[in-house]
Amino acid sequence: MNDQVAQMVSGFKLPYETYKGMLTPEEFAPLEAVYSEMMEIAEKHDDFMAFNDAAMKANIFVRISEEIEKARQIYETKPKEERKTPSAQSFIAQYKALYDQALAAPHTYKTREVYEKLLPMGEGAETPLEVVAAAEQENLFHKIGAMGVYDTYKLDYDKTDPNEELLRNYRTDVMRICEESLTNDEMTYRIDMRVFEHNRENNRDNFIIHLIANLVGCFLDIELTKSWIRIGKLEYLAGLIAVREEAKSTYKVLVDEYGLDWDKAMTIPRYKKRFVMQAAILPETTRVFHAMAPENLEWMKEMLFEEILSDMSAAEMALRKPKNVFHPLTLDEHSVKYGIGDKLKVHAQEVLKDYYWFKPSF
Amino acid sequence: MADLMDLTKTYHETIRARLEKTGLSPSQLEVHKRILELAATSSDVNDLETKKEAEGLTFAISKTLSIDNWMVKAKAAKEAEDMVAAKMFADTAEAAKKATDNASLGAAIEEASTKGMEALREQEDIRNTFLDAVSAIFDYRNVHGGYLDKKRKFADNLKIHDTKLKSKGKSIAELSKVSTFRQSVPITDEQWQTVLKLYEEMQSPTVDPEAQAKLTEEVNAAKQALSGKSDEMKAVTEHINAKGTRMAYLGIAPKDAPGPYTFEKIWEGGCDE
Repeated sequence: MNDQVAQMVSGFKLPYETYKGMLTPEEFAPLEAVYSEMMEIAEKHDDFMAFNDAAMKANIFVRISEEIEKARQIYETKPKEERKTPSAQSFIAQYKALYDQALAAPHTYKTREVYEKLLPMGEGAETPLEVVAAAEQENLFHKIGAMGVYDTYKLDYDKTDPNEELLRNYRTDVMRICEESLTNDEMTYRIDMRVFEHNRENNRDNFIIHLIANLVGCFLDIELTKSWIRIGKLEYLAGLIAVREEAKSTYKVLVDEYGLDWDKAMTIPRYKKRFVMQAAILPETTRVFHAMAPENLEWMKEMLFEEILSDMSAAEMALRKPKNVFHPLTLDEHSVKYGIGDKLKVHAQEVLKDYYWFKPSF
Repeated sequence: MADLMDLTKTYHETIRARLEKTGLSPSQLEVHKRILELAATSSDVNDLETKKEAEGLTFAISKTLSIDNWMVKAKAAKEAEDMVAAKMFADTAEAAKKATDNASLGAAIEEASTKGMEALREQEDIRNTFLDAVSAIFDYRNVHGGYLDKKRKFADNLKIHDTKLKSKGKSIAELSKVSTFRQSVPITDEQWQTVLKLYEEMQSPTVDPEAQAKLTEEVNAAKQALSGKSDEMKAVTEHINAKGTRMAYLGIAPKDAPGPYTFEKIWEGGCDE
């Protein structure tokens, strides 16, 4: 069965297994019939869209939801003494359904490990209480939820650029909390504390990144105004002088108030990335990005120290023959004309193809 | 077959011990303790079930699960000095306390948390506007004193954010004193004084006459220095254009641990593309 199809139908397996153990065969028959019909359609269609079309045509999702609701009503309106207590096996079958659901999602390996401990507890047990008591001794019910959170954060961690340390550290901490916590309340409290801390860190870091972006913007403006001046458009001189002052002031703030000079910025990869990154390429990951020529870092450094921070006059700036030249950025118009956006996506997907979480779509 | 009463006691004792150890679930702890007390005087599980039902303990388990969870969220928010979130979570816990059955518990939480989420969304909107406003002030701070157009541009940016804050009954000066907002920007007390002073200045930006005079002087000097240098400037342009091809790269992060990026050239064209 197609993975997506399996995931879709597995959502109905839990109520199916639950009521199977709690209703009489006659009461359960209508739900069983629609469920079997849905599984037949799922087996027949290996393509998700084809399955979806066939299921919609048979109105299967509405019908099965109605039958689940009817089953719930039948059970709840029974007098208490007539309610059938599920057997240990039907109790475990509910978790088997959730385990099957987890199998369809490749990143849920920690969650699956918990189910793999829980499911054998049903063997030989005569009542659900035996299973519950044994599972509780191992804290498995908390672990099912906690490892669900762990797996989600691990997936996000794996998708994140390892240089984005604030994000990666935050996710690592949440994963550790999930493993260490004894109760849901402990997990919630500690994760929430970490979320507040992360939000503060992130906002503060974004403020510094904003200053870096402004500095890069100044480098580009200076290069552009110099090029206009060199072809005789001297009205750009005022702009050149003003932007150079802005660059100097921005850099001074970064150095004096945030301790981030050029050399230090170049040793912190996530800041270095901000000097050359143009745009994200794929929505699911920051591991790949559209960059300007990395040679431009040398051009920026030269401009910063030779022109912006020096006593050089505006005329000398315009006349200076740089050792490192600027490699212009590719913009939307170039992307359209030369298909650069598509080329970036194709290469990005080639780079990412071996990651377990990546699904090529281009 | 295992003794059901023993299993029941083991089950509640296991949970009790765990809740006691973490100390973050007092309402649930009370319920499990009470069930263990009842179990000690019950003849069998049916007797215990009857006693539990009589005291509403079956529902109390799900109710206290909810109360304790909202309370730990309130505790975390309070310790992080986010009082809006702390109140929202505490209010939801209070609403849960009033529930009498599963249906009213669900409805109470839904109502309180929906209302609370609106307050949190509003706070996030205010926080983001506040951050944008402070960034606009920093942008203004770095502008050349003689460059009035750019000063006005950033002052106009600030005005957009400031107007939005005022429409919500907030001001930058007031928010700068609130811990949760103050902690969102890496700004010292001294920097805050500068920010608030610049905020006043930005209400009607003016040119700094001294800076403007200096700018005019520098422009004139540059014009003079460049006079008759068009060939030299052309040569610089040619030097740059000869090497400065337009390029697009794919930046690739290291695989597992922090480290240098690799760059793959995707496209290269002439400088005049």
